[in-house]
Amino acid sequence: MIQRKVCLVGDFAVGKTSLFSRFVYNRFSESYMTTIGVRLQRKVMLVEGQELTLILWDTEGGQDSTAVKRTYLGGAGGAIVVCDLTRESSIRHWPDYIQLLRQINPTILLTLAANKVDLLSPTHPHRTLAQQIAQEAKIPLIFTSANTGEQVENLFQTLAKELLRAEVFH
Amino acid sequence: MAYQTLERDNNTLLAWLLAQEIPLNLVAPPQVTPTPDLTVALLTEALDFSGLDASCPPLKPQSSPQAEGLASLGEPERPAALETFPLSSAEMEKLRELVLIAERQRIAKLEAQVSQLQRQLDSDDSEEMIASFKPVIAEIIAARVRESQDDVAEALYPVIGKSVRRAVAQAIRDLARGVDAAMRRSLYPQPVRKLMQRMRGIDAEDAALRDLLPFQVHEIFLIHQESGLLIHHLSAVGTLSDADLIGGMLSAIRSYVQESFAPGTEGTLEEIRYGDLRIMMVEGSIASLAVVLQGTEPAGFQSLLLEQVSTLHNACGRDLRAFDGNPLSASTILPFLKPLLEV
Repeated sequence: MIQRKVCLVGDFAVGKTSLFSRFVYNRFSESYMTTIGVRLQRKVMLVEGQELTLILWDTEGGQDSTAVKRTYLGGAGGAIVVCDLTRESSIRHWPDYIQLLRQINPTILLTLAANKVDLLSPTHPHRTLAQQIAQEAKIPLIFTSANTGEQVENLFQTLAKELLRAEVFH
Repeated sequence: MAYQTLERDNNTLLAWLLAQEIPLNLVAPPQVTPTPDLTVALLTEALDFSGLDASCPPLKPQSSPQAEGLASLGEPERPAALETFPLSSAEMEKLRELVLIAERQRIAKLEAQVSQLQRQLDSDDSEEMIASFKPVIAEIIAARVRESQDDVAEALYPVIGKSVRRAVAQAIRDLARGVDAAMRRSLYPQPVRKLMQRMRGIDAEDAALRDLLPFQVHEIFLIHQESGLLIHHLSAVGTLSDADLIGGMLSAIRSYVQESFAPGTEGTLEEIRYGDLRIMMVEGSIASLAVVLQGTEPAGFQSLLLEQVSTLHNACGRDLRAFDGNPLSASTILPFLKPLLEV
């Protein structure tokens, strides 16, 4: 079976663990518990008729990308860069994470998760900011809510498809 | 009968008591010789009228000359004493004092003792409290141990048993390492080993014990160094459903220790110990081995792991370098891992 390492990165409290829990266990907790080090879980997905095992590394968030332990990111086939749509700084830190991930692995496949979309009005300027950064970096962007579950499955499916596509062209 | 006529009046009560002959001495000055316990008990009991009312059964009259005399008079509701011995409040108070003096002294003494204990309990000085309770607790424990040794042993076993087991395991490991160090290598053929042991003055019993020490490899993980993805896994004790996660976690632990405690250095995490189980880790340039074992490994086991990792890299370097999560052929990897399971 094909397995791929996928890392979740982003500032602290943007909802990395919540997305991870929603996707793996389909549950959400209101209480915030900071991740120490890293949390690992496996998720077997069926993507376009093919099985793919994602080994998910939910990493500890910090103030910005400098807090990420680089060795956790090594060998990752893909990564999800998460921001909290209600916190502008976490969106503006996206380019730093993207640069860090590509520095460690130039072929890494990325997806941007603009999380906590349920807390924002449809016309909020942070949405536009996130779209602008995603377009500039040419990276797929998904607006998600770990709380309601909105688009969470789609987020991982999008990355999984990219990983399999890359496998075909490998 | 006379009991039913009682009113809530101490004087009346006392008069009634007098009529019952028992405390006659109390009201016959100067022969006031109160404070017999019996009187106190009667007073205390009789003063509580709460449960008494007209529905109470009549008190059986005392068998005394007075009682018999009263009975013979027909139906006198109140004995003569009832009207003839009224006491003033001051006299009553004096009577109370005389009757209850011993009790009051005892209560005062107890209150002082309680206050002293309360002060000790409230005190922040834990030393003082320990000093107060130490002799009592020690005595209780000693008595409990004497009375039921089995129960005590059973209660303590979970705590002491683990410590003893750990200490014995460590002592055995130390012995084994001592013997191995003296022998340098214990992988020589047995006759040669025995000869060398004799020459180096190693006790034959120690050497025999060393040879008998239990040892088993439970799991072997071959982990991709960079990604932490599991390349291959072998188990001597059955299948392990989370082998890929365990492999990843071992890799994460190694990274965490390195980045947190020794960033920028070349050191590696070589061993994790949990109770009797140990995880020995040996790193190669692309893949690392993590071996879960129990017992005391034979001398030179870690060198053997290093050799195997090195041989594996030499033989399968290209496959290992190309590894990106797609499974490698078991026939390529197994010849290097299986021998380790059979040590």
